[in-house]
Amino acid sequence: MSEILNLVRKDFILQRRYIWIIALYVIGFSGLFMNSNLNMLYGLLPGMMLILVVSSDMRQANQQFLVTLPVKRSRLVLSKYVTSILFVLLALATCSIVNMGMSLYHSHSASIDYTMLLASLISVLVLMSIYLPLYYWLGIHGGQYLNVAMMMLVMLGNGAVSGIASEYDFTNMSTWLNSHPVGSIALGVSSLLLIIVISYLISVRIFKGRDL
Amino acid sequence: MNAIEVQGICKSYKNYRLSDVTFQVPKGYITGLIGPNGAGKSTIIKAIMGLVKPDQGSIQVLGHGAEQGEGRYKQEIGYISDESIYYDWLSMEQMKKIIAPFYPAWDETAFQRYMELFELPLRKKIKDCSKGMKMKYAIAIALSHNPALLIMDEPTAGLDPVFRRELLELLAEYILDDQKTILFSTHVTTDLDRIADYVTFLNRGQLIFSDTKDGVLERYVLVKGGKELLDNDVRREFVGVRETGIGFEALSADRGGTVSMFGDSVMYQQPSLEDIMYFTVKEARLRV
Repeated sequence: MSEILNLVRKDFILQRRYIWIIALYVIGFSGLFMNSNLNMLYGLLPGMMLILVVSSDMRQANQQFLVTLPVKRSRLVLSKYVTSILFVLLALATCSIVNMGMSLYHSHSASIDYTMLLASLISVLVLMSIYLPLYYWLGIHGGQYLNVAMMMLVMLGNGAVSGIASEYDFTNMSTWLNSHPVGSIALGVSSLLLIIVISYLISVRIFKGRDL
Repeated sequence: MNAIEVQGICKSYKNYRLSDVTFQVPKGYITGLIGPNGAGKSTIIKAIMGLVKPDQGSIQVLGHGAEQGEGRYKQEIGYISDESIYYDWLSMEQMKKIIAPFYPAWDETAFQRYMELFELPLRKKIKDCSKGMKMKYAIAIALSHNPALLIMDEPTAGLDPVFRRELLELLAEYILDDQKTILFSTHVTTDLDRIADYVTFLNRGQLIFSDTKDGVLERYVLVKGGKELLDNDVRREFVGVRETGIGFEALSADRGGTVSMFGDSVMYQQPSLEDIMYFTVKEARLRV
């Protein structure tokens, strides 16, 4: 367990260099200087954080460093999933705080767009489950193209997710889910967990066989 | 007792193959892994560190199997790569903060002492360091968790002669505790002439020999003589031959046999590890 904590801590140290970019991005799209654009926050920030966290270890030399640590390869992969989820949650928490602050500033009532929050969380975690096995499979060279592709997917998917989230059918589905809270939460969480676990097992299998 | 046991390792790449390499690194000694560039030294070290998965064979490190997915056995290893493997946008202090928690035996006082000894500024970013500074930093990191086994891949590359000597002294000091072991790969064999107890020689992915340095130096002999002594049968007795304007210089791996063959008609000299490597590699190239 301490190995995972040390690896997560390592990722937090590595992400410090992006803190100003993220802060500027959040301030820029917070709605403080222009009309609040939640899509740019909820849609892009978690995806952006995910890509930053994963790509910080992308260089072959850094992968070698990690493997020379007294940690199993499967733990290295697990820590990447843990850190990715933590950073996605952190990004969404930031979005929610900014969202709440801005609605308080503009309309004097604090509110959070829960539909957007949930849609963003699910879509980014599904994206992570696809992204990480591809990242371990492609390695450094393919990984650079993968990052560009993922960034485009996040930007395009951002519009799609926010579109779906505001669709009439999705609103109906939300209403239906709201009327069956326990079942829908259990179904949603277990499906998402299953996707993440399958993704993790695939990543471990790929990374264990990789020469560095 | 062996610190490392490499048994029948094979690994194939597109243009290169490591073939059935078997050798041991005895505990409490310095073993030099020598060979020209591309001989397979780094591949062997990477396999020991679990960075590369051999196609065949097995590796035991301090009694543990060094499978690619395993990690715990690396707790006892100080690893120095031939290139910087750290996050180069971090300072040396930040990088140390990442590494230290993984090693319960981390000795902060020793780390500070090495940083001072090597004149390394903690706040300097790794990317701004010279190759020599990066190597010194890697050495400071590797020694600071008090490893039982030090594995170094070309550690003296990029170091100035003064620090190279100092490093060799440092390693000699480290090995004084007979529980400590060093595996040291290099193509600068003069470093090993000074400190190695055992030598393992690889060429073109094949093991040439693995023995005590003294045993190797006793077995091999450098012969200098006139051209008239050299015919095809005689040539076959040598590992390699270099003809000059006035005669020949040749390396034999059988000192006793060579002396009884030539008697007093030639001059005998003690070869250095570099001589042994030079003649062996040259001859192998001619045979291809």
